[in-house]
Amino acid sequence: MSNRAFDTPAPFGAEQEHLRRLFAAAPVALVAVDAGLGMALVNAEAERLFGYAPGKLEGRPFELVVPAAAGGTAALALGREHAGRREDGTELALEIGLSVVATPLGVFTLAAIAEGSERKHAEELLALGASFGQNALATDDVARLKQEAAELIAAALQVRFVRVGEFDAAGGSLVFNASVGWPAKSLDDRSVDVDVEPQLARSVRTGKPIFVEGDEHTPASATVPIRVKDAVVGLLHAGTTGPHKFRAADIAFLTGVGTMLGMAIERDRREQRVTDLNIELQHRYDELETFSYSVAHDLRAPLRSVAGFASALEEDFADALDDEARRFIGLIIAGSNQMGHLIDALLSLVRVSRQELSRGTVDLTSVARSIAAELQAADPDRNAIVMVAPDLCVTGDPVLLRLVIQNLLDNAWKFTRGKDPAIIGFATQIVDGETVFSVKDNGVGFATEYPDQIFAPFKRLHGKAFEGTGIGLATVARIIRRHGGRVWAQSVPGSGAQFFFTLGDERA
Amino acid sequence: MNDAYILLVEDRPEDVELTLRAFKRARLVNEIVVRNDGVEALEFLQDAEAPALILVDINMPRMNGIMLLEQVRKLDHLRFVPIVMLTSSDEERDLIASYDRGANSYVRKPVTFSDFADLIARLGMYWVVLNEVPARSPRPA
Repeated sequence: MSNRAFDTPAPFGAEQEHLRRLFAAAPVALVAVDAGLGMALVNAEAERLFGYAPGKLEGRPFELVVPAAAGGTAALALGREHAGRREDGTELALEIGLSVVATPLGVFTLAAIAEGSERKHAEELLALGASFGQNALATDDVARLKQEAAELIAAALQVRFVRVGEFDAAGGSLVFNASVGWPAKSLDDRSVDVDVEPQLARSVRTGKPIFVEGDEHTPASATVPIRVKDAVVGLLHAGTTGPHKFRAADIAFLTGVGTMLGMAIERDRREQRVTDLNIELQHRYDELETFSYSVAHDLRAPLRSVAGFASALEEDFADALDDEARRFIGLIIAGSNQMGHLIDALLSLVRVSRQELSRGTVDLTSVARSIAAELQAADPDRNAIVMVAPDLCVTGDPVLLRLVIQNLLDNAWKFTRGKDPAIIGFATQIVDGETVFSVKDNGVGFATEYPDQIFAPFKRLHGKAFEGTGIGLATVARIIRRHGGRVWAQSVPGSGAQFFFTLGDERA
Repeated sequence: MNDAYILLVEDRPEDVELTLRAFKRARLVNEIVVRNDGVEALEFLQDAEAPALILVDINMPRMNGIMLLEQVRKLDHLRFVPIVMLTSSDEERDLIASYDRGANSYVRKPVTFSDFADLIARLGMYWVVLNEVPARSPRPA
């Protein structure tokens, strides 16, 4: 209700007109609140602050613009920060200073109202933090990011010195290599023994930020650990001479910057590890290349001598040799042939590992059919039926996949030797959403307690009955694995065997 | 055709012996000149008539087969002589290096002697008996 006692010019009177003018024109919002918590006097600045037309606030209750006033001036006196409400209903942050004035007309509370800098500050920090965050996500240059962080913190928190340090890879020494306000000679990648500065040490040990308010003798400072998961990888250290209170928003800001630096550092380290691994892989490839090159040249030559001269012996000294001698020579030649195949197969296996996988569309159907045709042509008397499912197209390395089909069909052909007709099928089925290829035959099959072992190099389950180096399936397994797939086998001895495989990427 | 000779460049004596044996088995009557080393082979070739066929092993000390191939191709009177790399390895890098420098063929020596003998017979048949070496420019005086 309007308190007309204060209608101009009556309360001040003519000689107090200048006081009234001072009040009205003061550059800070002023409101005189009466005992009934009504706004007895409101100056122009207050009207502007709350968005009211001139004269519209006077006489209204104070709680209209400061809701907390509903609890009385005692509630207001509890702190400087309060929420205010504008004419349009929006909220704003306020800082209110109160003083009590006794006048002939009663006791009034004079409220000096300013727009709260706290919230504004917090909002500014939030915005700065967000844009630093964007930067941190996008950048590759961690060194520059650290310097940006130091400069940002110095500016945003108005502190004189900031330094950003990171622990070396071993986690032993802390190196501060980004800073603002530190004399250059005391920094520049020199490592700092964390234990020497107790505040730094504590922050690192506990993994928690530490704030020191400071006084005339001690600088105020904030130490915030930079963390990657649970490990402390670095420190943010900011401060200023003289006392300084770090506000809640400051603490949140520093912690946020620390977190984002931590993420950028982690990403950088991970990429470095990948680069290092790639370099190591390249070295391994190179070693493998050298190794197989020497095997190719150096192992085969003496073998040729053994085979060649055993043969020569047989021919040139036929008369001097009895049956037993000839048998021995036969064994020597057979052994060297076997070893020759083994060297070939081993080199081929190694080549599969060395080769870069190329990617193309491979029509397994036509590959299988052409291999089957070759097998039949080499052995026209065999009664064999080879069935190949149509349209088996996959994505993968054409040469290597052909090797797989070759190996599997060769095996099937070999182990169905005694059967008439030999039946071999190459087909596909969907199991649990995955495409599974299989080569099935009605041959002798295999018996083993450990079916996975047949894919290990040199594993042969049939001894002398069937020739072979035992490398073929190992090659198949390696190729399939390089395509991201799996291979396995099952068999009923005497009735046949089935070899299954998947390929990691089957889109074609 | 009778003065057509074959040059064999091979450092291992066992391989020389086996190769000569294989030629005998194949009933190729051409004279076979042997040099154990790329350097000696090159020296020989500077002054000699061009052979009908040169067989080169790759793995040799001092000057390996590929280096020899390169040098031989630089000699005018030898630019069209058939050169067959006869070697232990089928490594891609050797294959490519050989063809890049002008080898006519690249053959990996089999371990089994009878296979090797068949191979030599075929090589001889193709490059010496059936082949027509393009007319070569007269040897510089």
